[in-house]
Amino acid sequence: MPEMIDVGEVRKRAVRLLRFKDGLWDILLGSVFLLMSVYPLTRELLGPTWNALAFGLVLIVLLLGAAWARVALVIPRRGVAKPRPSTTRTITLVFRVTLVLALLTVVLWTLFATSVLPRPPWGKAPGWVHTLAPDILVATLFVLIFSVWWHGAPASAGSTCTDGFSASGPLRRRPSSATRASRSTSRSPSRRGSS
Amino acid sequence: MTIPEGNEAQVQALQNVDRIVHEPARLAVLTYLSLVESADFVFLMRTTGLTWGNLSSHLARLEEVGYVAIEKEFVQKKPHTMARLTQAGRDALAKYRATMQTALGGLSE
Repeated sequence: MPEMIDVGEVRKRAVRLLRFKDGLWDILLGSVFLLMSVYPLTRELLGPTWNALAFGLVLIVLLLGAAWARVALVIPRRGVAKPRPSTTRTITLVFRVTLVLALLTVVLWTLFATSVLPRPPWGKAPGWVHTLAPDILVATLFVLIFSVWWHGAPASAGSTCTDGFSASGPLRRRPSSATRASRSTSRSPSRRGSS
Repeated sequence: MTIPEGNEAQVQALQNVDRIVHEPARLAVLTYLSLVESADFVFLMRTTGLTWGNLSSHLARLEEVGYVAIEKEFVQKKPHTMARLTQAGRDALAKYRATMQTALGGLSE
């Protein structure tokens, strides 16, 4: 255990452990950049719509993989802590704004696409709007998915037992038979010595 | 041995310090728990650097005096322990901090 306790350092360390230390976020961002590097090539092959859909599918697979890694690999090794409301307040605000904007974009897009709302005068719009329309929609969906994922939903995944299991003290790991044997061996001489 | 002039209040404050909180390992646990809403056993073990048994006994002591609340659950059929600082624990930590500031802050060189 460290001899000195610096509260500021402890706070930073706790937040780092909660959010970034597992490296999954870095892996995900790296993967997205990697996908973006091949995006123009596959776009030529698949066309804008199918390419955007394929891009989205790959990203969803990556997100699911990261969520699984977090629950199955990171949390059992690193542990989990729920941040205090004051820490999460800013994150929650950014998350909500992003969510509202992304949802609004998707809803408007759907209404225009299904002709529920009169289509905007696309003829006057620049050419890149026509070309990149599916990509813009998919990019918006990415932002939405990333926001939800980063907000920490997988971190709190788990089920609570309701079968009456309760204990008054913290868990005590039962030592393995090998550990017990080594302990008894190491204690024996000292006991003999003390007596 | 006599207490140096002007330091009686500081010495008195030190005598009244909460020894449950004063122990370094328990102080570390309480400090970490004061920064988060709740934390599990593994998280506390990794952040404080305590061993499993050591942390277990300190948490048991803190729970005994009511400074920490411990909740047990099963996550994917595995037992999972979450620890949370109670209001009594938060008050005790604040009081300890004030006591130590009184005791050491005003101590003459």
